Amino acid sequence: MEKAVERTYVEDIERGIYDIKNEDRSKYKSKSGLTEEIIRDISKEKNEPQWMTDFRLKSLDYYIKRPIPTWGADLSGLDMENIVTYVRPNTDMKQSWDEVPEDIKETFDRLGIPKAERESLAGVGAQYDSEVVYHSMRDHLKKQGVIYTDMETAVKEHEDIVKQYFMTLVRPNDHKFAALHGAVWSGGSFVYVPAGVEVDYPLQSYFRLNAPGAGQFEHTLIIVEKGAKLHFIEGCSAPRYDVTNLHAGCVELFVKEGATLRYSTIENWSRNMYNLNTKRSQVEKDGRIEWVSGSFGSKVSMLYPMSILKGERAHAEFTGITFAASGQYLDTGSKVVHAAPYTTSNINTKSISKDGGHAFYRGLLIVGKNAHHVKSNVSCESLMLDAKSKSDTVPIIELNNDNIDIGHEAKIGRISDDAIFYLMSRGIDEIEAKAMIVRGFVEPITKELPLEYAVELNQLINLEFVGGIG
Amino acid sequence: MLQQQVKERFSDIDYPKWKRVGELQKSDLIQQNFDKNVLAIEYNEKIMHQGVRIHQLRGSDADIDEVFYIPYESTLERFKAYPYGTHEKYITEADGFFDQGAIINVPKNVSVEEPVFLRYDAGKANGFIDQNLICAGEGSNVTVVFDYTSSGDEIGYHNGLIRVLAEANARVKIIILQTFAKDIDHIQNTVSVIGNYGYVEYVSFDLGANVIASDYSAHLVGEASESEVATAYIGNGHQRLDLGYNSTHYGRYSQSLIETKGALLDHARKVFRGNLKFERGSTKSSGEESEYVLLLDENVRSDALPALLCDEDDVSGEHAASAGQVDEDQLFYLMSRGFNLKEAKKLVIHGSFSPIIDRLGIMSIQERVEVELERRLLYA
Repeated sequence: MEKAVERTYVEDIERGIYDIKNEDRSKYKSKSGLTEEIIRDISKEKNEPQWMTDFRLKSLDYYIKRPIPTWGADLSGLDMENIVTYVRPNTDMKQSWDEVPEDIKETFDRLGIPKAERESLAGVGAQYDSEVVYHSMRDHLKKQGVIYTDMETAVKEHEDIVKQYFMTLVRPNDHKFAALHGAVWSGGSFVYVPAGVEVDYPLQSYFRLNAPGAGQFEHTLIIVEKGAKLHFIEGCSAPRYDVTNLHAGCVELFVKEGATLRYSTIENWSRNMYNLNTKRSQVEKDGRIEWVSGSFGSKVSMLYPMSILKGERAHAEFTGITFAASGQYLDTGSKVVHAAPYTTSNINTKSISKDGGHAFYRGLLIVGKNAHHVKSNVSCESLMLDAKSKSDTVPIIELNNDNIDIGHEAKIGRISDDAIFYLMSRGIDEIEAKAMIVRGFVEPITKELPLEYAVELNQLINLEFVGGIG
Repeated sequence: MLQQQVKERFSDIDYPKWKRVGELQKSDLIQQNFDKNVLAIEYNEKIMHQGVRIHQLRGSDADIDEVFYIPYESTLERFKAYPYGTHEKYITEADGFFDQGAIINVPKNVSVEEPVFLRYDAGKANGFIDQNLICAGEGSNVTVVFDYTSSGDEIGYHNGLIRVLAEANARVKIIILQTFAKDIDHIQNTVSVIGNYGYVEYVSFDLGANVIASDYSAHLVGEASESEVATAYIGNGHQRLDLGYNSTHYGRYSQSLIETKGALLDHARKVFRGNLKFERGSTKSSGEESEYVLLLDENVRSDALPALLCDEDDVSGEHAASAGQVDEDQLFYLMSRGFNLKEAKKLVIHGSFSPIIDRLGIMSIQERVEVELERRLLYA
């Protein structure tokens, strides 16, 4: 039955195409819900330069023509007809703390998140505390020549840089949600690190939360110039409450020659969310990209951070954990394209499924024709915590050169009874024993995270076992 | 009649469109000729006294039921619930249009000491279609060798189907040696349904043919059922290989193994599709899937999709896939012992195939494999 619903959406879009040919665009309103008018409004409100408005309109074109993908997760729960409400910043986005669901409020309590932060996470108020911190940070960075600002400002104040890079890595015609993003993107961070600068502490996009509802289509664009170094942390590990349920963000990372970028994320969207984020990085000669990624929340996730190793000796690391609990379908993975010789990559993912959750690892490893002396190792481990859950691993490996060294391994299993027995014989109760083993399982990831995140991650796991989060 | 229905079904389906392997030759290339004597069955007469029945099928058999001791159609029913095959088009083709085939029935508790040889030789003809069924009764034991050869030089086509039904406690070993002439497109579908404590082993060598599309599906239905599929292949020239392996666990305590070793030269291309699946209820089962390919020339292309699908937590699933060149350290060591580079390379490559060769256990086949390997790797 759900398949039929999807087909209906596709048909609507096709009628849209005929509308374009007749050059009578007003017909869209009733069908796709997203019109040229709305896009122009968005652009006007943001006071954008003409090229950005044109870019949005072109993306709208792609969005209308492209069908919803039929592989991976079931996206029939997405209300694409009402996508207008996702986009309109002033439609129904006002929320009061009272409207936030009980379980979310409780979680904030348990995670020890202070009141000011809660409100901002709930999309309610401005972050007064962080405004102060933010300003002092800004000055320090300015001295180093680092540009760290929100995306809207960057489009206007650093037009030349942004124009050069914006959506060149994730192009709007890549897939439907990239097109949607290109048309309605709003908010996000822009970071530019000049050559040779090593940013000494991690930058966190946590401080960049803007108006309510802006978190849906954030665009993060980071450029790390030659020899520079940056650690960027996206999001935070507390669940974010949103009325609407689509997150089609985009992250583009440009790592230049000899530069290093570490990009850490803990995604813990509320459990009604469709997380269809696209993350991509391009690494030049001798550059290095390190992804640390934790996917905990959302109802449905389709997330495959991709690394394109463009220059010789470029390197990509990916350390990820996916935790699918009851009612969640998390389809995540990692994509690496070795497009140059002597490039290397190391992918280490862990996934846990519990209570009927479904964790799906979908990976892609491509070695191009001219990429000789490539070394890559991919390792996926899946832990299933009970008989109700599902865990699948479908990696795709495509090798077009012979002078390479590639290894891939995957394992699926459950917590060993012996391990639990041993811990219990030491006086630890069964639930705590299981939580301990799971924390140990994810330890390779937690040790890569900054302390507060590691602490929150462990808390999250504990909560799962004690039945905290929804 | 079953065959008639199958023929109709065949015409209703379209040929599959495969992205990597592309288009294969079609069966209308070969003359369907029921009098063609491509199959010669060799076995020790004694087994007849043990109750073993071997029936040679010719496509023109009007009514298979009468001729044979197990009702043929009802046996085929046992396979209906389980998916298998590279594509339904090829399964129905083998069922509806086979030239020759063999049905081997081993009764309860009979142990067939010497292997039964099914020598399928196309001779100068440009191909054939064969369909085979092996029923191993409870507690029985049998080894069947499929020896596929041809010596013509025309473009040709072969489609072979092997079904194995292993009842409780039965042990079946199937050896497939494929050394078709280089212009034959070869399709091989095999499926086994394994009962409680049953064991089915496939040892297969693909050392001939042009385009190869194969599928080995093992359905571990019974408790403690076991399946091992060990295969080896060489790809050279412009060969394209699409190799599929599926182990599906239904029964508790079932065990599976998929082990593939290959070598690619010149402009050969291959894709390995491994699906290790644990259905809910297959508690305490364990499965292993591993693929290793040697890349011996710069223009080869190797793809692998080793999937692991799990619906049951109390299992253990593992898979590993790796691709690379001949290990330089190993080469160095051998050369330091007096071998020249070419000889050293051959030794190392041969070494990677030896786990599969060691499983054969039949001298005559082993010798043939060695000769073919030598010939194919000559320019490696």
